[in-house]
Amino acid sequence: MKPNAGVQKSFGSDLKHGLHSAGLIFKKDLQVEFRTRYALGSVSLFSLTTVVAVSGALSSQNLHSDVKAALLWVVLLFAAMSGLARVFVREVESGTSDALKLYAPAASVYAGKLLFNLALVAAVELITVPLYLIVLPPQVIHPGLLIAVLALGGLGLSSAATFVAALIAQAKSGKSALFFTVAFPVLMPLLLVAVKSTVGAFDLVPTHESQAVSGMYVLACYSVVTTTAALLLFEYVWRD
Amino acid sequence: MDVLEADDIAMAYGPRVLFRNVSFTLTPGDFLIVTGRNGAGKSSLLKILAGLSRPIAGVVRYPSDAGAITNANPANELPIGYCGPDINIYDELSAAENLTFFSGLRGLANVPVRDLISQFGLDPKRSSEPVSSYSTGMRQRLKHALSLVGSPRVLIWDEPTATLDSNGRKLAEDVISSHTSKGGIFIVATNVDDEAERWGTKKLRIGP
Amino acid sequence: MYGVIKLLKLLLLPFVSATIVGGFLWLPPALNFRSPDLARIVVFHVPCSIVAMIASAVATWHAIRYLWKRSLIDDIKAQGSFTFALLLWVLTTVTGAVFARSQWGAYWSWDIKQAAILILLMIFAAYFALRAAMDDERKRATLGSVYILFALIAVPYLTLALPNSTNDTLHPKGTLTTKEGLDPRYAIVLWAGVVALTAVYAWAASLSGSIGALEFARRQRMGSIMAQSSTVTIVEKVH
Repeated sequence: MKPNAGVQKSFGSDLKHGLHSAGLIFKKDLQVEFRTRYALGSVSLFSLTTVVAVSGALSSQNLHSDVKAALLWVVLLFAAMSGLARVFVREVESGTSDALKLYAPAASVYAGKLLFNLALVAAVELITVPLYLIVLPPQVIHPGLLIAVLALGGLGLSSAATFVAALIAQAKSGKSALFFTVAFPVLMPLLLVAVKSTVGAFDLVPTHESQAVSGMYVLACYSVVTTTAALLLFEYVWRD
Repeated sequence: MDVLEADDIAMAYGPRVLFRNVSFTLTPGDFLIVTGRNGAGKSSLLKILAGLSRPIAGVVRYPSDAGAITNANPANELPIGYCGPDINIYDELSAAENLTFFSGLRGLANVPVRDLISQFGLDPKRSSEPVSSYSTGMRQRLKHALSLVGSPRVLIWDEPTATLDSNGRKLAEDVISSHTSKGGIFIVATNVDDEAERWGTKKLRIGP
Repeated sequence: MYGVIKLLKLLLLPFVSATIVGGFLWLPPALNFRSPDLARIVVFHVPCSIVAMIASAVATWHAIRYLWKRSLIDDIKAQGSFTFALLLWVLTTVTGAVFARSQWGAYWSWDIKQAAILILLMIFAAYFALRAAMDDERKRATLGSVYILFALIAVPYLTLALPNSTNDTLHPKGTLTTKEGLDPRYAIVLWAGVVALTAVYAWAASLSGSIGALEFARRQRMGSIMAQSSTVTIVEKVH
């Protein structure tokens, strides 16, 4: 038997291997998702019913752009959160997480799961936002700004939520409640800034718009800081 | 560096210490049998040796071309084949997809998946069905096949024949003897008295 | 050395008392404030927030040490300091709210500083929820330490960056350094308060660490007694 030839220990090949593994994990999660259609189904249903309920209760009111922005993000957040923990909780509950630990580099696992959650958040936004803009139209829409806020906010949301999902996945029970309890405080700063920026995208007040642009930088920073911290700390969460 | 060395390993579950001062050396071709009562800590020891668990004391050193690797994260440094009750494969994927996925994670391409599947007595025609349709015995065989991916030097099986029929048991023995005769190291935990008697070049018993 | 520490501990009580009494009786009412008498709460509010920061930093340090050395004593100390930090942050929030009521008429106005501190309190509370959900001691310690490191990145942001990023806040800026109209005696009592509270925290933290260590040792002894009945035998079988 040819003994295990040591893998070339260079940073470049490690990085390539890591990225390739992350891609494989992302692809695997997509495959499993398409065959069961669980996460996308539940989050879509959640966002649709929430948007309909909100618009039904409020359509007769003339709402300020503040409220519209906040409501949008609340719906997005809750809808996304109902599915974001699945990437890790399902691995633990079906007993496959040990196999993953044995075969995949830790950083690849985080990166692959993050990619899946990014796709999930993107799907939630694609379903929710157009519907929301139809039933609760704001005074005006700055499309570029809105898309930027949704993208950066979604990125930050995925980063933080994926890491928290990994933290709570090993709890003995009550994982859903624990996920919300731990993730919400961490996501609050993101939520506040995202709402403020969305207000800038929904009305014509120039200070709001400049606030929105500076909010973008904060959102971008949040994403960078969260992803970096997650990548550095994930090894400790994932391995015993 | 050829040997697998366990150096003063101790493991506890909460306040309950399972074992301590476990030290042994395994050379190429060695086959270690771990026995003990239910709950004595056999699976815990095997998980430590596989790098899935962190012991509360002690260190494991693995054989590799690049010199000894201690059990920080052996899975990243060199492949170890492990099969145990905690390892599961993806129900939604097929046997072939499972093997391809896990071998891809180890950086292996073009793994002869169909050969591996038939080597373990699984019907190649069923290899594209999702694993959820498999029986426990078939799943066990697939898990065994998975542990061989990447030709690891060290193979660790926890109660390998528990769900297998007599064909499966013979197959397992063949795999073990083939691996050790090629210079690999095999570690098995078992409750079966017959296996504990006949198998192994070294024995380790946890508990009285 | 031991004698000096003992002396300092004995002096701590009179010192803390002097600080508190001084804050109420010695300090003149603060001019330029709506409620000059109540405004003196600032000499309690600021030390709370400073020592809360110190305690948070100490908890972070022990969390790092745990992940590095894996000694459960570090986790005990991290948890202890974290708890004190939470307590101090709560006191900071409450004293701030009392001041807000006297100065601006409402305990809570969703000012950015107040929103930020509320988020901080929730982040701290989530730590305990996370720990409680784990059954294994080591998992609790590892995940707890990781959470401290992950979540407390937010602390400097929430306490310093966010409130200072906008001028649209009621919270006074630069009060630590100088504020016109504030009698210099305020600075004395405030900094004395910081020293006193730090000393109290340090003492409490070391006591809680000792208690935790003793409990841990006791649990370990009990566990070892059970292990003695379990032996490991290795037999070399010759074919």
